[in-house]
Amino acid sequence: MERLLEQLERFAEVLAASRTRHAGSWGRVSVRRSLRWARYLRHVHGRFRRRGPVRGALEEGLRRLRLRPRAEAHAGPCLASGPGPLRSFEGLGRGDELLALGLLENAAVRGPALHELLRHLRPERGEPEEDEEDEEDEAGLRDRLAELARRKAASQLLLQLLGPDPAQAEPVLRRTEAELLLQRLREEAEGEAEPGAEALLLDLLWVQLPRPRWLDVVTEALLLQPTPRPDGDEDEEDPGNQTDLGPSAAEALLTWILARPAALATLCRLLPAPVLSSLAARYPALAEAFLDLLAQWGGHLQFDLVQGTWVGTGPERLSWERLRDCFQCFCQSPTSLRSQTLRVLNSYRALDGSFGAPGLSVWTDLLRDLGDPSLTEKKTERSNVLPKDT
Amino acid sequence: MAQDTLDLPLNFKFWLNKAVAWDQATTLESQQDVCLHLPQLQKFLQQIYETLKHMDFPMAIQRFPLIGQLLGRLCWNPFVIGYDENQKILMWCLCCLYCSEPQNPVELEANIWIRSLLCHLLSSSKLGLNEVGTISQALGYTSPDYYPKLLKNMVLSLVTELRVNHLNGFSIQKIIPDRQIKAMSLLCVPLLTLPDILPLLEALLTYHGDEPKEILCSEFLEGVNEAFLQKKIVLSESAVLSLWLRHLPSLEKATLHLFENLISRHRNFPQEMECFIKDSLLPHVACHPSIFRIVDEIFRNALLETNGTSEVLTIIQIFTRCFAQAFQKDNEQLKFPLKSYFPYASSSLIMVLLQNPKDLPPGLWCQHLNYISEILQKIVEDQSIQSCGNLFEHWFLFIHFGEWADIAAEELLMLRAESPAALLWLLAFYYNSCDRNQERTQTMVDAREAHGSIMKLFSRTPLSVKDLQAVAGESSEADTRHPYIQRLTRHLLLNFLLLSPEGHKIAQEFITTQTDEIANEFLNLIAHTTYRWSRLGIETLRPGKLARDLLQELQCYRTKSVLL
Repeated sequence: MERLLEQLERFAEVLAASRTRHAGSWGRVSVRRSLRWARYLRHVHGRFRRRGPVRGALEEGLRRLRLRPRAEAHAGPCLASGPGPLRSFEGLGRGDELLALGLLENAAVRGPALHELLRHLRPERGEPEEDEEDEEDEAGLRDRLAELARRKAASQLLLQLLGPDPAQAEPVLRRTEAELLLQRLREEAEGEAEPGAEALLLDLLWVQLPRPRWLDVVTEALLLQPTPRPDGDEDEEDPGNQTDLGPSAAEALLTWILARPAALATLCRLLPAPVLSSLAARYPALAEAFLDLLAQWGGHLQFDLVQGTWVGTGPERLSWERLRDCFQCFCQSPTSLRSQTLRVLNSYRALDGSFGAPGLSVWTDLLRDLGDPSLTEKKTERSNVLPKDT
Repeated sequence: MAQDTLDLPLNFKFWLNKAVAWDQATTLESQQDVCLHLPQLQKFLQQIYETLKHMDFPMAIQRFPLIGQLLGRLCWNPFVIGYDENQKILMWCLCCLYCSEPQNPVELEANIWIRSLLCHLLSSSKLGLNEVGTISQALGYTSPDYYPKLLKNMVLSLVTELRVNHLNGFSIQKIIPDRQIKAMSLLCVPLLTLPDILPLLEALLTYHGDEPKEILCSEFLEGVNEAFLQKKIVLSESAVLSLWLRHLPSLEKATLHLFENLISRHRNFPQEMECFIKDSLLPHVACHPSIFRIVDEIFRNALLETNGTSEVLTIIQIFTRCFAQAFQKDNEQLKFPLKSYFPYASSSLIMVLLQNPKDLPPGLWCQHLNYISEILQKIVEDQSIQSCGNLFEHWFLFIHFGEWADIAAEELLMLRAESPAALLWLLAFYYNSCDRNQERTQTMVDAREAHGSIMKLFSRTPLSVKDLQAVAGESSEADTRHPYIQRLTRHLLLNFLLLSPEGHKIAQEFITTQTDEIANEFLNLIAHTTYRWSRLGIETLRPGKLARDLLQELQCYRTKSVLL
């Protein structure tokens, strides 16, 4: 067991290093050895896939690896808190693929080392030193890489079918990215790494991605409907199993958003109102947060007597139209969101003084625009006090 | 093989030209051309690899100066890469060419180029859209994580679009025009055996446009059928039904494929044959009359071409049995009238033949057989004035349900028939649907005689092989009886051997004195009889175990005699 964990550790380092300039110093022997480790660990993965003590110990070992402070910063945008691509038990199953790809894509890897790698990627190698078992495994690696190439070509072919306009392919790409995000969050959650790991990941994304991109992916991830799987058995090869992704992975995302005012504000400000409304309908916690934020912003609006409209003055400069659109969509939602929204609006209107006339309280005007029946009643009550508009 | 390697330079030029042509055109025609050539291209690439694997880079360049152009162009063509094993072989070729220690700038350049090609094949590059790789990279994922998911989502999206298109069928605006559906089917041709594509295949197969014309391209339909028959893909029943309904050549090919498989097998046990036939999905989809009629037509032709050999008869009978099971089980679906399956026969006859003996108590089988005999006799005697084609159709219908003839033979020997004449007529008709009155009369005389002599055997103790041979007509020098009467006699004789205790004792001895052909005939009869007994659940009422033991002993004997 000790040796196994040792090998695991060493391989994780090797895998991480395969994408950095350190791999430039590798020669034939290093490549051969690392491939052998990869094959061995793949065996281990195959043997101990069923949850048991050995698998538990390996996962524990991986956890410890992640918690270890990195000796030096690795090149590339891989997350600092992980040991590179080897994050989970499932990763052991494809360690050889990842290693091969890492070396291939790494410009620092030199001729003889790459030649050694390529030698392993074709059947007749000219050096009959390895035994039968290795040959079978190597065939497995070749087949899997071939399948990868085939799938990539298939994606290219089918891309044409999604439409002549590149924008028509966007939903598919967004969905894929959202699934990857949720999968990653799930891996972090299962790995039980330090509590802030998911938050760290999401912080990094927030910083790295352009805002519109970030919005798309996060929204898609939150709204993702799990696709029903025809076979009920759990497929261990595919950690991105949809039926598992729904509640737990999205929760981490949710928690993070609720704890980051900037993210919340971005959602409220930039998302199309119907989308915002679907998010609120699905996640009551978000609904509350949105309503609070919108109400806060709404309080900053002031009535411009010259223009006859409400104008945003706060730092967000939220427009009246935006506010109204959001609340309108919320009210069109079939769920309890509608009643919640009306309740909030009415309570704020009460705080303001329960005016019935336009132009005095932003809440009154909002409710009027939303066609609130109670407001028209109130109007008739006070008709003798204030002149009618129309 | 030597011939091929000599042709290699010529072929090389051919394929290079092809690769260039495919690069430059993205029309439907050029895509069809690619799909057409994919199998040969794979063979060619295999040959190239076989040559390259013994060479290093300088040798390869000398042999194939333009190898770089060829490999490069092919690697950038997703049709080529998506097909079967092309991508594997191309990768191997590239790996062969890589120089471990480049001696000159050319080799250096080559190395860089090879590497970039491999990266193009395997890693996530820009798909021509805005920074696709960024998010997955930021999450620490690479192409093995990304592409399977992307492909799955693409397939899902296309399948959903097809379904919506289907529902919107009657509205003017469709999301996907028919022309694009054809393009979709063509693009799937190289990808047929990729498991991820299966939902899209099924959605396309079950998709129907507005026009009566077929919108899926024929390469797609043929390819799917071929892959299905070779068991390279597994399709749902509704998809297979759809395929065979819309593409007649596929249905014909599937039926012939089944036929060839069944006939070419060395030993055919009825249980195995039934399994085989059920696996092919043909009996179940034959519940659709158009499909049944076409399959039946193929059976009819086979029967006529082989002059009614027993193998073909057996296949037809087992098929019909499986079909009848499927037909009667299908409660939810709309049932077609029986006439649509057998348009040339009278419905009353069909109904009576379709009756499953399992659903009748064994005591009533005789009565039922009498009824069948009555109806058939009536039809036949009426028909003798009319065309003999019609007579053939009724005989053809009857042999579909040959089980009843087997039961008739048994009942005849069990002495339960009140009027053996009716059952005998049935059996005689089974073996010979003659249309001339005199011939039929003569047949009946011969049949009665055979039956009579076999019945006498019951009372003869001890029974000797010679007695059996006498009845079978072998002792006399010239057996002037027609072959069909001989077959009928043998059928009755075998039943006797199985049903009488005296017969058991000498059954093996007797059968081993027969010629190979006739011994096989007996063997098959025993196999079918025991299977029928177990299916109908009457093993306890019949000497099932004895029959099985006999079968086993005979088989051992046969294999021994074959080996010696």
